[in-house]
Amino acid sequence: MAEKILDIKNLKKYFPLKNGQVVKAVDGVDLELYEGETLGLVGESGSGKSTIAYVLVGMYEATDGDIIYKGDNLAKTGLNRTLKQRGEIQIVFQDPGSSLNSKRTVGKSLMVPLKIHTKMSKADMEKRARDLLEEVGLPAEFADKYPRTLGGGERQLISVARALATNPSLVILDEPTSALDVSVQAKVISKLIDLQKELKLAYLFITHDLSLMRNVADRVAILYLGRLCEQAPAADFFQKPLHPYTQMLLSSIPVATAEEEKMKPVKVLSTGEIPSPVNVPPGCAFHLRCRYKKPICMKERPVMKEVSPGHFVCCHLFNGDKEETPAKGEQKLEK
Amino acid sequence: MGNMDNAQKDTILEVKDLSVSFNVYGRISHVLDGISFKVKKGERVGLVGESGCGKTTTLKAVLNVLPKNAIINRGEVLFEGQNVFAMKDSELAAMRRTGAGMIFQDPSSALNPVFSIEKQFITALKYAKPKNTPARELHDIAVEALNSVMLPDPDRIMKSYPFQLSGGMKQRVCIAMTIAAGRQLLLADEPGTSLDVTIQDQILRLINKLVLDNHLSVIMVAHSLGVIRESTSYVNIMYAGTVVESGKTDDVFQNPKHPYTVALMSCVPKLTGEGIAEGIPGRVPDYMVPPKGCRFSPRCPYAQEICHTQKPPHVEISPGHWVSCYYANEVI
Amino acid sequence: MEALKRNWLKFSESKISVIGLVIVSAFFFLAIFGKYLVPYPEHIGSYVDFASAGLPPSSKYLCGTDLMGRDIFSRIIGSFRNTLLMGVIVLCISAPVGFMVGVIAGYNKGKLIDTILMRVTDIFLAIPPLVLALAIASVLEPNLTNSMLAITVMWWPWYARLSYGVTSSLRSENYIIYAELTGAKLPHIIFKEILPNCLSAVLTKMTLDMGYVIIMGATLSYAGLGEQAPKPALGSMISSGVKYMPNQWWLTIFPAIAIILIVLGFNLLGDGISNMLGTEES
Repeated sequence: MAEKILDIKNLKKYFPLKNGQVVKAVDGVDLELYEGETLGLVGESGSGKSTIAYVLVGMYEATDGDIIYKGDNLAKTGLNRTLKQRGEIQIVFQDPGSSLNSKRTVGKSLMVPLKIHTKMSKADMEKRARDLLEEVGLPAEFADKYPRTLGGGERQLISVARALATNPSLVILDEPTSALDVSVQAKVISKLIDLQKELKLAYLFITHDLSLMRNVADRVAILYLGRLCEQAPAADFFQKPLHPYTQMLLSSIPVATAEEEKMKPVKVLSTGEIPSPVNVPPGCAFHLRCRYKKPICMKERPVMKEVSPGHFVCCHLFNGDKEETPAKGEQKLEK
Repeated sequence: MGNMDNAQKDTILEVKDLSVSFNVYGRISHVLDGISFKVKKGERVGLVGESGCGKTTTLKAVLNVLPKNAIINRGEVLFEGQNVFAMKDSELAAMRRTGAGMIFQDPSSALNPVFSIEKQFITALKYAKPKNTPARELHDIAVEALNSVMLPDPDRIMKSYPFQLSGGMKQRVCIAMTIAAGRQLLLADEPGTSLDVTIQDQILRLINKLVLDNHLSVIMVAHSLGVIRESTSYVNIMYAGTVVESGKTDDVFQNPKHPYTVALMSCVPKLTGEGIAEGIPGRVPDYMVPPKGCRFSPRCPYAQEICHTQKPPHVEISPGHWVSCYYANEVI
Repeated sequence: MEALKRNWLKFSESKISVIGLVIVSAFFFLAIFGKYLVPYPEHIGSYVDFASAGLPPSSKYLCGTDLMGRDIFSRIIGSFRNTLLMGVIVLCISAPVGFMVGVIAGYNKGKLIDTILMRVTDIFLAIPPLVLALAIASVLEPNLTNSMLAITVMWWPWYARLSYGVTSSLRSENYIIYAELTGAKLPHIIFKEILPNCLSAVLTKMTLDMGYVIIMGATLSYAGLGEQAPKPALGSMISSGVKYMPNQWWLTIFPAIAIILIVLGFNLLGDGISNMLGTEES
C-alpha cells in the first residue's frame, strides 16, 4: 500500500480586489496524493487548478485549510519554507519560453538548485547538471547551449531535469505539454512516465486536455470555479462520469477516432459562458449551466459524497436515497 | 466540356503546386514545396500539421497577404477560377472584402480594443457593401449577423468594447464580421485553440451550422486531430511544407497510410486510455537546407534510397484517398 | 572567440559605428598618452607668454593661441584626461547605484519599498538636470571633484528607470519565480538572473551617456564650476573665448569642435553597440 504523502483539507485561497470584491480562486478543496502516483487536476479557466498548484509549491499562502505534506502543514508557510521542504516539492511550468533564463546556458540554469540546496564543488555541480540532462534523455552537450537554440519539447525536458535536481518526492506539472506539438508532447510524456517509475515520483498533473489525462493520471479530480465536482480513479472517471459538469466537459472534447466517440457521454450541449470567480453563483457553482438543476441547487452548496469506492461526487443529485443518476446510456442525441 | 465547367463552378478554391520561400537576411528558407488541394463550395476542408509545417503560410498565400520577403517560386492559387497572384489590386481588394476572410486563433488581437464593436463592424461592412449604403442598413446587417452566430442581445454587443466580451463571444463577433460581408470562403486559423474546451466546442458547432445554413466553404487549420475530425469532411495532412496525405477525414483517420500520419495518430492521446507512443525520432527539417526527396525521409522508419533522392508522387491509393509516399504506394 | 567574431561582424555592419569606435579610441588614447605627444606639453597648465598671445591658427600653433599665449591645440588634447575621467567616474558610480535602486524597486513592485524608491527617483528626475547640477556645484567649492559629484547625483535616476522597467517585466517570468520558490536569495536573483538581461541596455546607455556627461561637464566648467584655471577644460575654454567672438574665433570654435566630435563619437559607438547587442537574440 503506497504511503500517503499529501493531504489537502478544505483548502481556500481568496484574492481580495481593490474594489472590495473577492476572487474566490479556490473555495474548499480536499485532495490526497500517494507516493508514486499521478493525480490529475482538470478544469477550465477560473477553475482554480493553477492556484492550487501555486499554493502547494509555496508561491501563495492559503487563506484557509491545511496542506499536510509528510507530516508538516505547509498551508501558511507561503515563501517561508525550509530548504528541505522546497526541495521536496518542485514544479514544471507551462510556458517553455519563460521557464529558462535566455541569457544563461542550460548548464548554469540547472546548477541553480544545486547551488542552493547542496554544497557541491563547481566541478561536481557541472557533472551533476550533465547527468540530469542524460536522465531526461537529452545529450549532455546541451549544458553549454542557450535555450533559444532548443525546441519547446527540449526546453520542457530541461525544466523537468531542473525539478529533479533536488530529488523531490512530489512534482507539480502545470500544463507541461500544452504549448507543444503532439509528437513532441508524446516524447515528453513518455519520459515523465519513465522517470516516475524509476524515481517513485508523485505527480500532480494539471491539464485541460482530458484525452491526455486519460493516459497519464491514476486518479482524476475535476474543478469548477474553485470547487471540486468529482474525484475518481481514471477508468471510473472516464467511463462512469457522474457530475453534470464532468459529462458536459467529456462530451465536448474533440476526438479523432470513432472508438473514442463511442466512449463519450451523451452529448450535453454546452451552453453559456463560464462565470467569473468574482461572481460565483450561490448554492452550487454550476447550477446556471446544469440541465438537472433543482430548486435546492440554487440555495445550498452540495457536499462531497463517496458514491462507490474511491469515486466522490459533489452534487445534489447524489444527496440522499433517491439517485437520479443521469445514466450514460440515455437516448443518444443527434450531434 | 460541360462537366468540366460544372466541376470548376463547384470549386471555390484551388491551390496548385504552390511553392513559397522566404528571404531571411540573405538566406533562403524553402517553406512550402508544392502544396495542392481543392475546396468545393459548401465543403469543410482541414489543413492539419504540427507547428512550422506551413499551414499559416498557406492561408496567407490564399489571401495573398504574405510578408514582403516571401518569394513565390511556382504554383497558383485560384479563387473562383482566378489566380490571386495575378489579380489586379482592385480585384484582390474585392476578393478580400467579399470573397474570402480569415478568423484567427486569438480573437483579442483581431479586434481593435479602442473601438466599439459597432464602429468596427460598420467600418468593415462599409467597404464590403455598395457605396452609399445607409448606415442604418449596415447596422441592421451587422445585428442580423450577430444573431446568426447565436449571440444573445446583439444590440448590447454592438455597444460593447472588446474587453467587455469573453473569448468565446469575441470569436463569434469575428465570425459574424467575416460572414456578414457575404464572404463565401472562411479561413479559420486554429479558431478554438485559445478558448476553453466547452467554448471551443460551441464555436466549432457554430461554424458547422453556418456551413449548412449559408453554403459556406471553410478551410480549417488546426494541430488537433480531434478538432479536424469534428469540423471537416476532407483533410490534408501537412508535414514540413508538403501535403503527405489527403482524403475524406474519416477515411484518413480510420486508415492512415503515410508513415507520418500513422506516427502522428499514435502520438495523440486517446480517450480509450491505450497509452501514447514515444514520439517521432528526429526533428523537423531546417527549411534553409531541406532534405532532398521526401521531406519526412530522415525520420521515416521505412525510408529507402529513392525516398532520400526523389520526391514521391501524389498517388490515389483508394478512391478519394491520396498519399505522397513510395512505401504507402507499395513501390518499396 | 566565435562570439567575438560574430559580434564584430554585427557591429561593423554599420560603417558609421566603426567611425564612432575610431573617434572614441582616439579620444581614449589621447586622454592617456596625449601629454607626451602634444607639441607644447608645458602649455597644459600655467604658462604665460604674452608675446604669443591671441595668435590665429598656423603651422606653429595648429589651433592658434589663447590670451595667455598657450597653444590651444595642446590644451584641448590636455583637457581630454579630465574629461574622460569625469565621464568614467560619473558613470561608474551612477550606473550601479541607479541600477540597484531600480532593481530593488522593480522586484518588489507594488510594495512600499517600490513606492518609496521610485518616488525619490521621480523627484530627482523632475528637477531640471542643469539646475540641480549647478545648485550642487555652486554650494560646494568649485572644482573637478565636486562637479563630478553634482553630475553623478543627477545622473543615477535614469539608470533606476531603466532597470526598473526591465525588472518589472521579468518579475513574472517563470525562471525568476522558480528561483524564488527553490530558495534563491536576492543577491543571486539580482546578479545572476536579472543583471544579464539588463546588461545590453545598460551598456548601451553608458556608452551614449559618456557624450552627455561630457557636455554636462563642459556646461559646468563653462559656468566656472568645474576644473579651475589654469588647468584646461573645454567648457571654460569656450566661456573665456566667447567675448572675443568673432574676431578671435579660434578661442571658442576649436574647443567646441572637440566637444562635438567626442560626443558624436560616443553616440555613433553607442548606436553600434546597441545594434550588436540587440540583434544578439535573433
